[in-house]
Amino acid sequence: MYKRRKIERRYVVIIILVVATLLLGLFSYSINDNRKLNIIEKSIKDAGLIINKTINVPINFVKDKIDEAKSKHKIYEKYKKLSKKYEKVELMEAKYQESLKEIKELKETLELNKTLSESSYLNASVINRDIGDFYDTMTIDKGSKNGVKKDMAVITNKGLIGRIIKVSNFNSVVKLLTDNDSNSKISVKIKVNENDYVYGLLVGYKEKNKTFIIEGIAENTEIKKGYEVTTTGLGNTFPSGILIGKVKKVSTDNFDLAKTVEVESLVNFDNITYVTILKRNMEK
Amino acid sequence: MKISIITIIVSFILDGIISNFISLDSYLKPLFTVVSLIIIYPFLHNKQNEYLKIAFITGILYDIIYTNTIFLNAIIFILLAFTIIKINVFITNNFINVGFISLFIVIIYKIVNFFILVIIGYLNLNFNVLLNSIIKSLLLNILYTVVAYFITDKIARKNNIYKID
Repeated sequence: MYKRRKIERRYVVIIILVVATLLLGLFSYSINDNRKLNIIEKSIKDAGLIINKTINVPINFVKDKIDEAKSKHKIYEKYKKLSKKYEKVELMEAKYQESLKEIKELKETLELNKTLSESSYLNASVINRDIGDFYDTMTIDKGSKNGVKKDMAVITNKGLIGRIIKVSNFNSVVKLLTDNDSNSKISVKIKVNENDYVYGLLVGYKEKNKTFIIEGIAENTEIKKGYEVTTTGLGNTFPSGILIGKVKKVSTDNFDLAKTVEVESLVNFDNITYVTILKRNMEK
Repeated sequence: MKISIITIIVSFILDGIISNFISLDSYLKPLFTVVSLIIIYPFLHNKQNEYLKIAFITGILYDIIYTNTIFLNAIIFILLAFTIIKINVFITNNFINVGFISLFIVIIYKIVNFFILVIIGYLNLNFNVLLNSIIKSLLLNILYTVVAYFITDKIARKNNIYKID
């Protein structure tokens, strides 16, 4: 009797271990960024988030009005800044047109069709943000029906914030740059003067300092605080020239062989309401 | 039963809405769906199977809509439901006790969730992240549990709905 019970207990332990392993495998598979949502998931997610979005509309309206009222006293200062900038706009416009013409001619010469830097824009609202707390994601109200595809870059008016990882019919999930996923290293460049760039790799995010870490920069390169950091367009995910932030701190590694640069984003990742998706026209 | 389902639905929707309006670094992170399991238990004391089913289905919906996972929250919600059933054997329901249960459940939810994500390699084992996440989730959720308990209790008394104390 005792022996039989012992054997039964052993079976129970084995079954529990097998089920736990299978479940962990399932969790691991389901959380993978490369997993596509199935039809059932898409339908439930769409239905749930439509309700969420509908309720958000009046709340967003009130929130926008409050923000508007708060920023009203700064209008005169903004006007002064903008009128100064406006004087330069015509000159820049002429330069821009000239550059566009030049690029077009060069492309014709090199027989290039479209590059990764050519994108169209799609604005979206944030429906919810990182409810699980550990995921560094947010859900936006544009999906495959609006032309959104996996791996498209997502920006705000202050710079890059992340990429699309999951697409449903009417909403998508954005993985933020603040996520320390080792598989999502981004090729970046630091503008050291008018024409020169230094290339590096964005490898992670320092939660404590709220800065991005860039590695792979030679020790003999001079990098100063305030230099702009943008994407290079290498790696087929992010188009080139998207602002990531400005250099905040430069330090050398333990062996004095390479520099590590801390970059501060201009985006407030804790409070994002509206975003823009860069819809790539074509990749070549 | 009706009051339980309404409580769960309202909490579920509020989770999404509140997350959108509260800064991510604030100390007011919502986990209303999780703590609503505490609120609804006294109404389903005689129907524990129904209670577990509701916890499981809510977990699945939470997985699909909010965290893009499969069965992760469903399993955790079932574990939490069992814990709530066990706790209710020893503790009576009142404002203070419900607040303490809420504190306990939020901590369990965070720890279990964190360790599963660490085991599957999604998160690094950094206890500061866990501690930070727990601290940021306590205040709002305890407050919500107490308020929701007060409201559901009033409704139950007014309409003579059965619940245990």
